[in-house]
Amino acid sequence: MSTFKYADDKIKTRDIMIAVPSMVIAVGILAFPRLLSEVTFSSDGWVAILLSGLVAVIFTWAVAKIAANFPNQSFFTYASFLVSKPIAVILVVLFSIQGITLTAFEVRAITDISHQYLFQETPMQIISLTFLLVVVYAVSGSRAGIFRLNVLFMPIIFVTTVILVLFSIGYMEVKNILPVLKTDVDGYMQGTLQSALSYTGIGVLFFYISLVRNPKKAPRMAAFGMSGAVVIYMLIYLTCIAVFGQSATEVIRFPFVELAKTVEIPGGFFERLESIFFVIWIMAIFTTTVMAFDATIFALNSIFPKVKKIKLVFTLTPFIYLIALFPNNYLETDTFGDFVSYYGWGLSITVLILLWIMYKVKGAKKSGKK
Amino acid sequence: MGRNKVFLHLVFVLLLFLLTGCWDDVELEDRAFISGVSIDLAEEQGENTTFELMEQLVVPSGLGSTTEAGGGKAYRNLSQTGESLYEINSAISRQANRDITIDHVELVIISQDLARQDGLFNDVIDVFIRQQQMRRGILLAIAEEKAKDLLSIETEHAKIPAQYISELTENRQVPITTSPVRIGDIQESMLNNRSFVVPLLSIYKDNSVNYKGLAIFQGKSSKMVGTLLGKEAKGFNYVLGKEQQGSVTTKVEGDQTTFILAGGTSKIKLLNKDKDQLRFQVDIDVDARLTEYFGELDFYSKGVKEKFKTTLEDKVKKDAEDALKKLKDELQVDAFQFDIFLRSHHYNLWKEVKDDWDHGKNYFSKSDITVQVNANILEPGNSFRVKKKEGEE
Amino acid sequence: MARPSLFSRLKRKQQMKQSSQTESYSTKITKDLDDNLKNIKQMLGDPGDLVMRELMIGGMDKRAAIIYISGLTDENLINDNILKSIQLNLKKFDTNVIDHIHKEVIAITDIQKSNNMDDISFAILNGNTAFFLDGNETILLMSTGGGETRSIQQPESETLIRGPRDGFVESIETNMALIRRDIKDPNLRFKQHQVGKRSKQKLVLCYVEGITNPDIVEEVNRRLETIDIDFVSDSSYVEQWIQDSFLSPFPQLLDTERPDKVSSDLMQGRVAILVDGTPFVLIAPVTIGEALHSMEDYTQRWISATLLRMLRYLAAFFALFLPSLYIALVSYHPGMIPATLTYSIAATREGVPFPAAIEAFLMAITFEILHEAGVRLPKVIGQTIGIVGGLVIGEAAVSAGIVSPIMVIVTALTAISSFSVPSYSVAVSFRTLRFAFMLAAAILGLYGIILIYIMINIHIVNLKSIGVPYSAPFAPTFLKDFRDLVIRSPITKLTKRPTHLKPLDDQSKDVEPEKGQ
Repeated sequence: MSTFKYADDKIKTRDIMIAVPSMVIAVGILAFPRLLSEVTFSSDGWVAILLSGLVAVIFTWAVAKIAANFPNQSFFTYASFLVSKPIAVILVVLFSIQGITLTAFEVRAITDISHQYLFQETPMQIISLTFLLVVVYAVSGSRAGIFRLNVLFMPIIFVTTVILVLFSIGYMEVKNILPVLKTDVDGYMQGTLQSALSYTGIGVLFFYISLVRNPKKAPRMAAFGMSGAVVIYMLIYLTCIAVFGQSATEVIRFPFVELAKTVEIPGGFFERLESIFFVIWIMAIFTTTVMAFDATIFALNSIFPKVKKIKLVFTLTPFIYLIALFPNNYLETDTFGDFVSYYGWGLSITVLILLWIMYKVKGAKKSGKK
Repeated sequence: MGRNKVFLHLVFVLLLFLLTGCWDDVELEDRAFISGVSIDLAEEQGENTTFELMEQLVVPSGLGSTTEAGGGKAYRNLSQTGESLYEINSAISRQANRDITIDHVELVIISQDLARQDGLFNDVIDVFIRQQQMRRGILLAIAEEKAKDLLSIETEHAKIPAQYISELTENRQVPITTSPVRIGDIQESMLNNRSFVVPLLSIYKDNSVNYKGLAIFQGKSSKMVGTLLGKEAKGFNYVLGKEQQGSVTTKVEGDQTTFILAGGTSKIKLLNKDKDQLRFQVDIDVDARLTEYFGELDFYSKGVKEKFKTTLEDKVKKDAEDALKKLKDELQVDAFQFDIFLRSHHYNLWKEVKDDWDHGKNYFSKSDITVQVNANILEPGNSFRVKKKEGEE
Repeated sequence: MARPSLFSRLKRKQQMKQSSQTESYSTKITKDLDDNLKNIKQMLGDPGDLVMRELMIGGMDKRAAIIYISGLTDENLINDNILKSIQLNLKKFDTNVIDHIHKEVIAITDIQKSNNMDDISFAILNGNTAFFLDGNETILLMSTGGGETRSIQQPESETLIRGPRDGFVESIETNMALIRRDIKDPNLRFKQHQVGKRSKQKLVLCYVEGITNPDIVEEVNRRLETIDIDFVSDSSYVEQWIQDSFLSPFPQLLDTERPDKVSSDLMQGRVAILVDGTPFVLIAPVTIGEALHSMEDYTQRWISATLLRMLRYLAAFFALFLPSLYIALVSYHPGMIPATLTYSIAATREGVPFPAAIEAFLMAITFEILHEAGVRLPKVIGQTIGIVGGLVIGEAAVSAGIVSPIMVIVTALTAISSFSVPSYSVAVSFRTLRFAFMLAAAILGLYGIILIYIMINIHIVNLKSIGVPYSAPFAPTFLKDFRDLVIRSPITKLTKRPTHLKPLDDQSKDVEPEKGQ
């Protein structure tokens, strides 16, 4: 009770609540208003965000719930129990691939966007290498440390977003928002799919719930954190639409960053905010990358318990670096991103359904839960 | 593990520093900041359209600081001709001894000749939207004559012509101004095929810039189709309900009266839904203050106030109707953006008319727009007479 | 007190080395007074400040001697309470003279008996007086410590406008007394250790039993016992020995000269480490949240204290980031500076031969040299530094065109900001980090700055101070502790001890127990 247990590698449910939006909010949101306004009319994308948000929240809850049913057991342990060991090994490997590709994609994306907003000449290799090295530094630290990083960075990201939204109020126009609800059903469906794809990365919860000392409340907290992410998405989308209008949002590559570029603080010390804004956003991307990487290490460590964490990190880093440098242009990067999103969702949903079915079939009886 | 970690820390810090260099490092004093750009059609035209691009580079030392006045000119104009704007830009940077930086471009002036050509205007805008360092807040203006001449006008207040002009377009006391037109807004309008206006500038003989009126652009073809000058521009703003500032001069019982507008709004109403004969009603509200009056009426009697009010209303109404007439009947271009109103409030109707709004079938010109004005005179001024009435002692 | 027999070891070494020397001494106490005196003398190397006073006891025909080191002892005490008593009061013949003297004659409270040569010499070196009686193997050690010490003064490194004026001194007994005067709690514990293999200094671990978490006390005790050095000239030796990570730029133990700070930290569930010979007391565990707190926050009214704290956060931001931001903006992102400011900076930089990064490093290093020189110089000459720094470096460098005026402003603002950080050791770590930021900004602009910032954060979340996460109470979050973090709530609301220290007693007993985390 009065010992310093909180200093060890266990986390609280509140950390999960913050980790979920930290994981979800990353590169996707920068381009997200564009993708959404491509398929919806006027400001109607909010319906799609809401629908997909609902799906994502339920999904998050279900993932956390199944993991919380096996407190303090690693994914590998409870998956082997539910679906036999060989399949569990396959699942872990598939998740590791997801983690590696996601990490590589984030590294790549940050390189691309930096090139657009911060640098012209600096070689891509350097930008991605420096970023990746900082990621490696974080991953080689303690796992609880990563969650503490989330806690430190999340408020900064949130406050930055809110400040940006507040400053853009002067640039908002009602005519950009009206009319409402004129999109056809097909548009909403596409929009929902499109925004759902932005909520990638919840799969890490399969692994991280095992770190929670008392995961009873974890599903609720995870769902709560997911709703927070949905709110931020909504806020950003609506601001972009209100400032640019749907038709301009559609053709701006990164509407969210462009927002920072448009806004001028009256009498401010900084004239153009996009560099500083993007630089702060690097923290959001950073937390996602670190968690994706760390979850991979965590997963692989569960099937190779004897290998040292550091060794795994150093083995994987060159691969990630190479994968990140693989796409040649922005189109390939986008395809890569789509692949990562679809793969992530496909894998997580399949695993979730599989696990729940098996849990209903045999888990509930055997594990002696009421 | 402990040793290992120590080693790691060191390696990472070292790697971070050693593996990098300063690729993008360009010192401030090695840059030349463009403050304004002008684009003209070149005198000699080749196979394709040839542009003449002039960039105004700021010379910081000429600006001086707060304590000491700068010596010499504060700007340097460089121009080149060519077919692609970007190529001209590179040609200019070969001329300049410094890295040309576009981060602080404030103003783009395009000549009327160019703007009236088919399909050139959006090419030009595209360059400014696509460039990463450009802001969406760059102001746009049309020059009646040569655009580059405007960038050579030096005044005592502003040492950089581009700064002078951008401040001018932002000055709200001029009655005919539209709110400053930003490149980002233009892009939004052009994407939606909406017509829009851009400030029209010309040069006075005594070497200063004249804010002459508004250049009207048709959204569909995105080229300039006409101008609104003087009172027409004023009337345009009344209908728009924006920027209702500036003065109105009229006559009350034969005495010249000038009102200062303190702001106002306008409201559009759609009276029917027949798309071939749409009937709009525009309600204009203006608040005004009296600034100049050479007559002798007593403001504090009710009838007199009423009299001033109706005179003002008539005047505003006339200006508004003139502007409407010119745009609707003559130019047949909806720079008022009535279609935004339709889109926001009568979506289904808008869907029917949107493809032929102010072009093709041109439902806009077929519509019927009436104006109603309600003026409110807020105050008569501090002291309302300089001379006693004759006979009164 | 299990003391390694240092003197005997020394002696053995000496014997080996100086085998040619005929003189040798024995570490055994004999009955012969002369032998004993000779041994002591030789053991200590016959120092000039060793006083040996041989005397005859009362009317008896018995020789005795007292030995002490002048300067360490209170000689009046020896004259009045030892010499006089022995010479005047002892007249009757007694069979057990030494017991008689011990119990009845000498008017000193702290007397011990000993017959170990190591103990005796150690006691003498500590300012005690040894009493030898001829024909007796038992020696009396009387506590006569004294001599010149510094009186209690206002602490120089942490001056406050409002608050107690006393500061710690070099004497550990005085320091302990200062804490005792603040906290009259019977649960206040002083656990004694000894540091310095040769210096044998007292080190006291101070905590309040029933408040401080026993895990912390145990851990600190464990670490203190590992200290293995010859001499501890200041508590910073101890700090560096027991801190969690020696690679960290952040101080993991806080030092202070203020008894009120120590007392209030003890009451919050921390421990204090007092070392003999230094006025700086260490406080542990500390976290990043405390880095910008000052004792004065609690003496001001809460609104102004909160504003002051925020001001300090702003100053810390400047101290860390300002020069690097200057470099990044001027060399990499000129678009971020408002146009007019860009032009005027460009105008002032016209003709400056160096890139912004070199310029910034030049000024920063110059400032650090000035700072260092200012610390070394005596106060009288100290003012010269101000003149040299302000006029010569500032004015002249600008007019010579070596640096731009805006750089001077940046340097000056950074310097002032870094001095508004209340704790010197925190300010020093900020100074170090500032250079890291500048280097990163010179290489990668804003991107470099944010990477370093992220790295520092990674470091902080992995750092611990005596087992407490350094990033607490921010992360792991202890919302209750936010009452006294960035804002300083009214004193009436600060009834709880910081929960991140897991104190045994969280102060207000009426409140229902805290629910599980």
